[in-house]
Amino acid sequence: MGDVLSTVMNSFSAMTFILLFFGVIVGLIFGSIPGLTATMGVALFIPVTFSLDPASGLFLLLGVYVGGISGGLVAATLLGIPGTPSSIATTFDAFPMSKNGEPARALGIGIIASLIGGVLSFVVLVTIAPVISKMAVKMGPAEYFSLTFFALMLISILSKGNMIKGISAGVIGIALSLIGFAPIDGTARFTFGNINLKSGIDLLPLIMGLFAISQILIEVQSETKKESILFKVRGLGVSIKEIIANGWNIIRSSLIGIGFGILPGMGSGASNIVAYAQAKQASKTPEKFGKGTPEGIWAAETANNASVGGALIPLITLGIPGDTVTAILLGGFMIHGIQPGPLLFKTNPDIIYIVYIGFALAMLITFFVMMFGMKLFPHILRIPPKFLYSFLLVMTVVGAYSTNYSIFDIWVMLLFGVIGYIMMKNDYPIAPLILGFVLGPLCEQYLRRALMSSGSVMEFFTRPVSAIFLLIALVLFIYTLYKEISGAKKQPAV
Amino acid sequence: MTKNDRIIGLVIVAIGALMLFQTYILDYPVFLDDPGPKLMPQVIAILLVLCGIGLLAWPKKRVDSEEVTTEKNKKGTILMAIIGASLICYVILLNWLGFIISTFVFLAFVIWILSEVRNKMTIVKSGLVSIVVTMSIYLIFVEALGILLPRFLG
Repeated sequence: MGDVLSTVMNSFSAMTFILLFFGVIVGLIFGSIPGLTATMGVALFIPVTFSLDPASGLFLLLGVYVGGISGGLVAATLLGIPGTPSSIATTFDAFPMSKNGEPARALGIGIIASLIGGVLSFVVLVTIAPVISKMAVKMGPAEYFSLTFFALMLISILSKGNMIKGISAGVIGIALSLIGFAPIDGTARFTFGNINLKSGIDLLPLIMGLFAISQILIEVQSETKKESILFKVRGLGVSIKEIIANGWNIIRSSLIGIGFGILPGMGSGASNIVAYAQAKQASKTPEKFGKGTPEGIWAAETANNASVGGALIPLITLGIPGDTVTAILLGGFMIHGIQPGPLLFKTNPDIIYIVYIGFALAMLITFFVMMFGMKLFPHILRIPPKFLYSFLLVMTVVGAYSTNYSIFDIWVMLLFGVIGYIMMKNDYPIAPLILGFVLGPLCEQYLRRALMSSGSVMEFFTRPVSAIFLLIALVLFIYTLYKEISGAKKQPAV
Repeated sequence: MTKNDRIIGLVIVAIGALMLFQTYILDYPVFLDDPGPKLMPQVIAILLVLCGIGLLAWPKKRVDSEEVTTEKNKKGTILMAIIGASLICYVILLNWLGFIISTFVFLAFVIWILSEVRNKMTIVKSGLVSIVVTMSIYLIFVEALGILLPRFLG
């Protein structure tokens, strides 16, 4: 323990704070501007971490992640457009409040709510993660296979659009991950004689294409006009009394956020909406919701930030990311030679502490930057799209190239840009594809190891933990299928 | 499901079938008790075919048919196609001319084409911004972070 702490302390320097600060600013910018997301921000900044040591790299990425989720508040409040999916419910009340002449109060509530939600999820992260990792060490390949399968199934079923589209996207993701050398025996698969495909498709070009290129193309096509922003900072008007009055709302929303963060497939995008709905139901004055009531902002903003801590739990304890942004974080960890999972607590306890501390500091820095930089937000939203998009396009090309110093990777990125565009235009969720791609190789390894050690498929059904995961996945699948088919019948074709 | 979904469904079935075929011509070492590198691709290929069939056979919803397909934003689509084409040219140029020249040309063009008003002033402005941005990215990545970028005649 002492050794671990001293290693952690050694990795701290003024540079740590500069990187975190820089990361948070970048994240806030990506979160604030509609069309850019935390996911895109983290993906674009992974190449920047190549030359940093693992600890510094993680600090930077955690800063971008936390800043990115928090930044969504800005556009939600000032423009009424969610900057990221995690702030959809924030728009319901923050924007009306802002139109009623209190934008600073709306932002203030959001900023404080984000901090509280983040802190509560941090406490849960630090307490639960070691417990889960202790249980996870006892799981064998069969349990891991079923858990990964369960995670993939959940993500595919729950993502927006309809179920078959989600599952198709997930399966395509796994199929893409099969390209290149197979695990265990190293057989080259689906390379079609192309030497560049032997080591498989790289995560970074795939993500940059699916998230950045396709999104920018769609934004250019839709030509969204800038809206005028009225903004005057006049005192925050958030009192301790108000926080206490919203105590139960805050705790409930945080718990919803943490729970949704832990479960794969939901994350901050869903938690803020559910927390908002719950707050409305429990409220004494539900009629005020949607008209600028502070309660709604408290609920949405505690929930989405609480999801960040929640999502880090399965990532560091099981090595299973719950959403796209944590999938990319996982990619970032792996580039630096860190394999998250149950063994991480034994092999690299210092990394665990770095994640804890990085997350906590990123939240605090985000809080202070947002509080004191509030006047600057309208300027972020005024960056002309022509500069923004052209700069981002160059950054994606640089990012894709610098992974392996190969032009081939840029072509791969462009191809996925087109695929992402087609998927978005036709309502196919992209998250299952990314998760399928990241979890596919793990799934295959666990499957083969489990079959090697037992020789029978029954292994997955006779081991209780494994059987439970498979059963839940199956029940969810059948339930959703039934609901969608009966829903389609009620709405006959015209 | 729309017409596009049916086409996507067909493509997915075709990819699944191709994958399945590929697994039969796969050459690999055999280990004792190991199901081999064929198992997972075969399962996934079959799932792909099933998903594709699912997309083809999924019942049509009223909402789908009411979908707004009228392309009201023709200008935006053309602009997007131009940006896409210039990205492709950029990558080709990158291979020949290296990072600095091709990035400068690409940036200047994209900023200019995305400008609301396009006149002599915008050409000068886009050129100036491009020089600053290109050099900043180059200095940060190559000099400060030690990351290599494509060089002139590579």
